[in-house]
Amino acid sequence: MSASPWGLLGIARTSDDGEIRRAYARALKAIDVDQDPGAFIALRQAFDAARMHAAQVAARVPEPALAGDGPEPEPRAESSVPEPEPKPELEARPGWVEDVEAIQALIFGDQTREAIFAEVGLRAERLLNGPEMEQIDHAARVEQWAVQVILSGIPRSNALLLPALRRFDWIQRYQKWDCHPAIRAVVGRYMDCQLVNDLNDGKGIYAMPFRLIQRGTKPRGSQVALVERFLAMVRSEYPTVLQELPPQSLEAWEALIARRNNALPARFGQARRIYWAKFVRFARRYKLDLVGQVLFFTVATLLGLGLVVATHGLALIFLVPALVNANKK
Amino acid sequence: MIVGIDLGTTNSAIACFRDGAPQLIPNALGDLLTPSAVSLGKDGALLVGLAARERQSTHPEATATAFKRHMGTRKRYTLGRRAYSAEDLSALVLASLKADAERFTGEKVTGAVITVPAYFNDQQRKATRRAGELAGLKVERLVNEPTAAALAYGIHERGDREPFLVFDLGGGTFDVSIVEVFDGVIEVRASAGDNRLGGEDFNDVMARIARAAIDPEEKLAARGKESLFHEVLRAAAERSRRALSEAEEASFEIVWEGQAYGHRISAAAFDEAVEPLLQRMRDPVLRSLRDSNIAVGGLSDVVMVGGATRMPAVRRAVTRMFGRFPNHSLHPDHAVALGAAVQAGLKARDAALDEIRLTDVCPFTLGIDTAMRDPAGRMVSGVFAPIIERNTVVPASRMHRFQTMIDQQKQVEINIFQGEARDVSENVHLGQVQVPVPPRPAGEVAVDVRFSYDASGLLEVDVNVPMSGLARQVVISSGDGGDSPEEIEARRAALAELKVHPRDEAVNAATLARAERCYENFLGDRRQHIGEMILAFEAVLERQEPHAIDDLRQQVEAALDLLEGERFL
Repeated sequence: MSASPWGLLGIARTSDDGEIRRAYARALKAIDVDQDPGAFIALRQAFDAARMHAAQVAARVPEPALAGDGPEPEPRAESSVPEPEPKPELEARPGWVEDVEAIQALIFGDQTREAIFAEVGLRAERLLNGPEMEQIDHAARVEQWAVQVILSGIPRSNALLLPALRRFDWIQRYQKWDCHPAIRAVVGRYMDCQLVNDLNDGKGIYAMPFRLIQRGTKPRGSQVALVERFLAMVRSEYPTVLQELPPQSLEAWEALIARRNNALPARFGQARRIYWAKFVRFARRYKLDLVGQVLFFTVATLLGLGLVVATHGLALIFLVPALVNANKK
Repeated sequence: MIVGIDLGTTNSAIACFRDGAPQLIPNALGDLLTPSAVSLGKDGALLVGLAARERQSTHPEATATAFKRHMGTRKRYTLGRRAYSAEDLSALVLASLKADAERFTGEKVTGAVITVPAYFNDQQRKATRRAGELAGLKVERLVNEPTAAALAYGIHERGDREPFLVFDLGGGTFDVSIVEVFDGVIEVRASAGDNRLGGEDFNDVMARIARAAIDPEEKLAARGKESLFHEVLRAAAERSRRALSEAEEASFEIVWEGQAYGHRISAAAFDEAVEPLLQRMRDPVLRSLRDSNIAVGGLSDVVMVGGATRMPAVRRAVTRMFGRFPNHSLHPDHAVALGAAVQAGLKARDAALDEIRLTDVCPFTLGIDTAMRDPAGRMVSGVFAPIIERNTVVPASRMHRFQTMIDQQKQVEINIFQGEARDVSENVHLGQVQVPVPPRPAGEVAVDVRFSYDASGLLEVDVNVPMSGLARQVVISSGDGGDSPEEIEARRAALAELKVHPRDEAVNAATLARAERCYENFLGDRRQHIGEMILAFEAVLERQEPHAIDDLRQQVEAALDLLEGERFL
């Protein structure tokens, strides 16, 4: 670890992969792995470091002979940057290439979501169940392409999401610790879609706020607390659902929420502002809307008054006669 | 002498390294393969090998086969009055192989290299090691099956090779390894597999198809004879599956309670039914390619081993998967045992292997369970944190640092897991360490966990708390209950006391068992003819005249070959 890898391998610094491997083989034969695992671990680390160096040099100086030889430093990074036009290598093969291009054109085109849904679904089924998919190399490339198109085409890529999810077993892969972040994002998107379906079916307490935003009805104060909670939940756990909601209506609601939370009467001084903030926090904790707040405070005031009256009454009944008696004596 | 043993689901083989080359050792019957089967005979003696397998369909309650599938589990096989674990049964097979080797070479067998499927987990590996010890063998090393096959291939054709893929579909397990050879170093780049996929699953599919045709209402196997019926079907399925490898159509025939049933199965129908099994082979292949960062185009060869790769359906699926024809130059049944013998030669420092080195990988991820906070600030526990990632070259040693999660935490409990799932409850639990830590606010106390994994699958866990200077160490492979040396010795003695059928009579026992099976498989005149042969053979055996026995045995074998075709292993 401490010494340079070249010393352990017994060669000068080089970017020739073949030479590094020969040196490693030579050094490996000189040690007894079973007796001295520590020596092997050190040698192996040196070997990996040296090859990493060689690969980096090869990547910096694009030599055609070396490029295909060493492993790239970043093996699976390509798919983490979703670009709108990532295509697998298009060799002049008709069937699936046509489907790939058509799906991309539809998803990134300007027809409505509903109009493209059926055709994308049909083409995706054909593409994903074609005979070429038996070949694992082709399947891997199509998978990478599908991930990118789905992620960059939200929310228009749903028609591709379902067949691809089934074909590539992404849900199963999602359970593994080494699941690629892009696939994790796709499965996340699928879960968001499930939530939207449930909300559309009227399931759960959030179906109502969802419908309110979706229909674009004028925001009203009585529902604002529920809508606010719904939006907070979506934002932290189902982020892509926001893209399913009509933007104007969403904006209107958010404006109302912001107004209610922060926009205080300007004439309030510092002390009153703190008081107001406490009041709002209290109201939020006990899930009170405006009417509720007024009602609550009325009831609270009445109760307080009642308490005062009651204690004063007790005093009148017991204390006054006693004082009177004492005076008499 | 150190031998190499391929302990398989259906068949096992033993080989030694002599005169610069690995060599298979024939058993008492002269066969290079010994069926992994144990059966309790009428006289109370245990039969191992072919004779036991022939009894599978006639005496299923007294016979155990394919027990490797339950290695390392609590499953018990009851033969007669005694219950056996898969380890015990494997030990009996190993002991019989050991006897064969000692007879063949005239040397004492001291140690063995035993192969296990690459995707065997820690418990299964431990059980295999114990089985070796129970058979009185010092287990020098456990080698992954595809690695052994690659070793046989690498020795077979010396010289540098671009990465090639070993595709090993055996009787009960499926493994894939990507191997590279340079300058005498045979380096496994990645292994993946499915430890519940093999020829037996294809037999089950075959039996299911046939049963649907023969017995659509499932009425035949009433009255608690379900397991017997299942064994009869399984034996017939094996035969017709083999026939299907050569023909477009095969017949599936059984005799049940005095009546013959038959069904013709076409290759097309079988191929369609096994499609889900073929699909399951894709995932490990993809994983190994992804882990080794090699594209299919970068593979120089796809080497097929394991008996089940003879099936045309499998060959076609592999051809489609890789877009090229696989390589069949290795003997599918012998390659693993030969490779194990090469490893034995390496272990014994054979001069012929002076310039050969092998490095293997750990096919599983090893890690511990941790807790973390999700975006909403809630604590989520049981999250798997990998320490040695799968396909790391072994021996390996890795360290990770973890922090405490709770204020004033007094103790850290570290659970060690093996597997790939993010949720630890789906992984295999290997052990536990508890370390006291100084109580401080959360996140201030660091705990270093170091995993050291050696080539035989021994895992050492070192836990170190830098703040208090406290260190704990556990060795996982011996920490498990039930394998202290004394206990192993006691169990070995118990197994040695069992009456095992004498090796010299194994040939006769096998013939007799085969004749009995045929007796149940045929009807009418042929059945009567076989019955007469059995009686005659038993009479000769009783008289103990070696020449007469040999003569008659050959006659019986020839007659049976004529009736049902050549016997197979």
